[in-house]
Amino acid sequence: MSDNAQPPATATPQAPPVGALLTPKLPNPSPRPQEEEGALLRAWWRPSGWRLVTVVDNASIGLLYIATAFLFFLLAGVLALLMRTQLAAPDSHLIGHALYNQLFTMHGTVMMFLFAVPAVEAIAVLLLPNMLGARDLPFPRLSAYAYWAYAVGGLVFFCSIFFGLAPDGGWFMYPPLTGSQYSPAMNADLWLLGIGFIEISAIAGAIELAVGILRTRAPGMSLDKMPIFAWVMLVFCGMVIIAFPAVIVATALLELERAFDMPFFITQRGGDPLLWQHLFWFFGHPEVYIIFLPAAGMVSMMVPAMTGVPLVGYRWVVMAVVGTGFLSFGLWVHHMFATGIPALSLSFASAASMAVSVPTAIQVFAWIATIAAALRLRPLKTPMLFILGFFFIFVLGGLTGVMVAVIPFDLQAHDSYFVVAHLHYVLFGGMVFPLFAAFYFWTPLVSRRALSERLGRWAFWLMFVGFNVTFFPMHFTGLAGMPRRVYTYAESQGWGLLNMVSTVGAYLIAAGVLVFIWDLARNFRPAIGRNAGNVWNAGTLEWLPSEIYGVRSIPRVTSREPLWDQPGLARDVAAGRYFLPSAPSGTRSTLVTSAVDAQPDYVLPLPGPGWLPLLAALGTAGFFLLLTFKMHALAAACGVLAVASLWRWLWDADTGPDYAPVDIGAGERVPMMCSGAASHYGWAMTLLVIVCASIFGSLCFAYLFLWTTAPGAWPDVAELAGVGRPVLSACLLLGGSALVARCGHWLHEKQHGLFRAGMVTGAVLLGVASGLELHGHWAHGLRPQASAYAAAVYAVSGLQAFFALIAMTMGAFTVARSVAGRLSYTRRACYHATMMMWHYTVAQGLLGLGLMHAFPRLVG
Amino acid sequence: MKLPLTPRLTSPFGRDLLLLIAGPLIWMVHFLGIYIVNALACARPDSAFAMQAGGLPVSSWVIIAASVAAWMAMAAAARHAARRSRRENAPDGARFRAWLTGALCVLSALAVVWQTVPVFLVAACG
Repeated sequence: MSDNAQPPATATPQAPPVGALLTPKLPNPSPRPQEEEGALLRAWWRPSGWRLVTVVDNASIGLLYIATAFLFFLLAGVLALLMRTQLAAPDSHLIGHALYNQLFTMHGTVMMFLFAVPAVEAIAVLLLPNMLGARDLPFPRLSAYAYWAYAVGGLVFFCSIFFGLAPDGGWFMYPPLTGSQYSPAMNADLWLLGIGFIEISAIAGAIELAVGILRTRAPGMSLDKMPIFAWVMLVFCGMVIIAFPAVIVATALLELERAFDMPFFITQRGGDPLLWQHLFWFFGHPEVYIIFLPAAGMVSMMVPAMTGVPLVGYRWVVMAVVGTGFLSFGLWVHHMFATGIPALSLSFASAASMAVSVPTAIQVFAWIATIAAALRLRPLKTPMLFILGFFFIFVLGGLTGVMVAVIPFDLQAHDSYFVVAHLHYVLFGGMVFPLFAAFYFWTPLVSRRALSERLGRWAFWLMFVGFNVTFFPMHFTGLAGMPRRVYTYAESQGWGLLNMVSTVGAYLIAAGVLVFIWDLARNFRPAIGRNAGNVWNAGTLEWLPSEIYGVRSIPRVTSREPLWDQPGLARDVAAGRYFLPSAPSGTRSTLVTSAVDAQPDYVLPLPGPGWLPLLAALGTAGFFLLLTFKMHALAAACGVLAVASLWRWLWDADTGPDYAPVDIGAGERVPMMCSGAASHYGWAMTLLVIVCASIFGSLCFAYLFLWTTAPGAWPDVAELAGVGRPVLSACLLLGGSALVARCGHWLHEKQHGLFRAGMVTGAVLLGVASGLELHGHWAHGLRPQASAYAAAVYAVSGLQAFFALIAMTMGAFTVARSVAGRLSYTRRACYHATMMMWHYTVAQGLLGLGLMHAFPRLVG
Repeated sequence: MKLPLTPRLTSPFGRDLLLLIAGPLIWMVHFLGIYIVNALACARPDSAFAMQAGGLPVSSWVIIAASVAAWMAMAAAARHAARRSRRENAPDGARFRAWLTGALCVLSALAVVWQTVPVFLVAACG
């Protein structure tokens, strides 16, 4: 463990904040009692041997997560090498067209879904708690669940290529090519079900990270003092929560079409393949920024540390990050310039594409200005080399991005190798180079030794030269007319030399990656708590001395680079002189602070190692994957395992004794645990409700889009079902919601019998309302296969029934806890979460009824 | 009956957050709105949106009106944030949030300008 953090010798000191002047005294006296650290070590013990799979702490899960994401990077890289070998010479027959289709589909899918997004989430799981001064994220078991679901599901998904079952419709899986008519085999189903649930894992991770960033920051770390990486990850989480539901809905609709012949994308029955493109790219374009922004955030953390000066234009960068997060949602149509959308609509997307370059440029200029103000830069270290390589490559990718945002140019370059070059310059340059910089920069935090500078330079130059040799010629290959996704070409087309050069470059990249792996093998020695220390003399909190329990005490922060601006901070933190230097009640815990100004709110007890997240993840992965192979009984068994594990996992949550308030230091006594909307789980439920609303919003869009493009498939007003049933359904929904709200009063009054009766009656009303609606359509003679209209109606009603089932299951769980004596007014988290889900479900149901019954009458 | 909460845990974050991202939120609503209006005008050539008025289709006038409304709403949000920062008792954090609100409004207003200009240059359904 190292404690060599010092302010840079010639750095301009910032004026001490007011808070620091007012509170010169440290929160806790020292020396600390000897047994205090022992209690911390006992609470945070880490299992060893085969029980290591039960770990839940962020450091262990973060490392596993990064290792798995890197494995997928290597696997997808091997697929790329196979493709490049095939394309090295014209008329090559090394790989047939069928396997080639699987290779490019899997390369894109694995890189985007199994490497890029998980890798940045993994880095955040590992680093964020340390950066924020927390001991762990607020829901450690959720992190473990998200990781195992991703790792198991991802590996099984990848193995499909060895059996010829890998998806082959391209990474964006456009119908009608991927519909059952043209892709009758199960390859497409594997993509739809496999990727769909990996998205769920990503959303779980995003909710965890967002609550962690907002509620577990060190005291004093107000929004204006938050590290840029935390800002970036907050925006990342918001984007995942809004964007990913669109692709979940898209995959669900295509799977419904393939499995049950519901014609969402079949033109002859009122469907429209463009619906897929809208939904996919509403996710797919923000996805680019979901990958890029965290990488840019890492750069914003590394550049100050490597230069010895705070980031120039901090607030401009925050503005740029938030602005990019929003503007990126306006770009989805720029992937659809060649689809016949009205010219003015295309211009809106083109304008948004121009607008998003403004905040991106602000970030680039902030980095350049910081480097220009550097106090220490030479000799250039490996992380800085990768960062400079990122600048060069990403800026070039950004410039070609502006080119393809110009509609006439895009129509020429569409689906050519020019686009392949552009997207790799943006994604490889914008994400992989910063990621390698991050590997070199943060390895000393989790390893006894830093990585080698000499090998790092070799890795960088091989990758940098290899990348440009591979992808720069592709601009010309594309302009010469070579389309993407062709498995071979004729010699007479004249693309042979350019392709050969690209293939040589690809092997150079591979050589660079191999050098990095060799460096890892020689120098990476995982060590949580006995790391190489702050070798870069960085200023942010992750470089505080830490142990298996995280920081010895949670610091009070008065600047953005506390290790530079608060002399002796590392020493005082390690000596336990700051907040919460103990393990209250012998449990793992961390401090929860207010979202805006980071004032201590309460102490949150955290769970330790356990099997349940792993079992729940295995069940979830098994359910989705076995469903693909039509093994329905086994899939059902896995589903039961997942639900049972989740039930058991949550059964123990929010129970136990009512702990006494904890003295965290500085005379602050805060409660241990909290119930209600302002608690950490209340925030998580709010985010979950936003995810649900986003799913519903995407489905509403699908319904309205189909109405816009195929009005002929919509029935006349006279043909619609009567309004009696929907009105009755609405009344039942409202009645159930009112009853569940009333249950809160009965819980407060300790009238447990009334509470249980109210919850059960509410569940019955909710279930009947959903059933009534579905039965009404069926009784009226509407069949989901008949038309896109009918399919859309059943999709909206079916989603409502699914949410009703979730709310009813949560209600049953709440009643079961009440019966078992595990629910009280002071321990009401379970009821509160159920109530939030319930009210949301009712609101969604009412809107759905309006969409299906009032809308056609209004426009008819 | 309203369930009581510990007073210090009642966070104004939701309100603060909404104000902070008011500019981009307005931009997003504007973007979706104008996209839908233009799509409807082109998909339903017989509708009121597709009628010509003053050399432009009605849908384009709706888009221009929406842009003006968006600029006004962004200006109001920025002004409100600036006023609040002067009122509040936490100068550093409040000033930072007010600046962020204003800067995001400016960026979003610029995006709205760029999205409005094509109305005068490009045929609505060409």
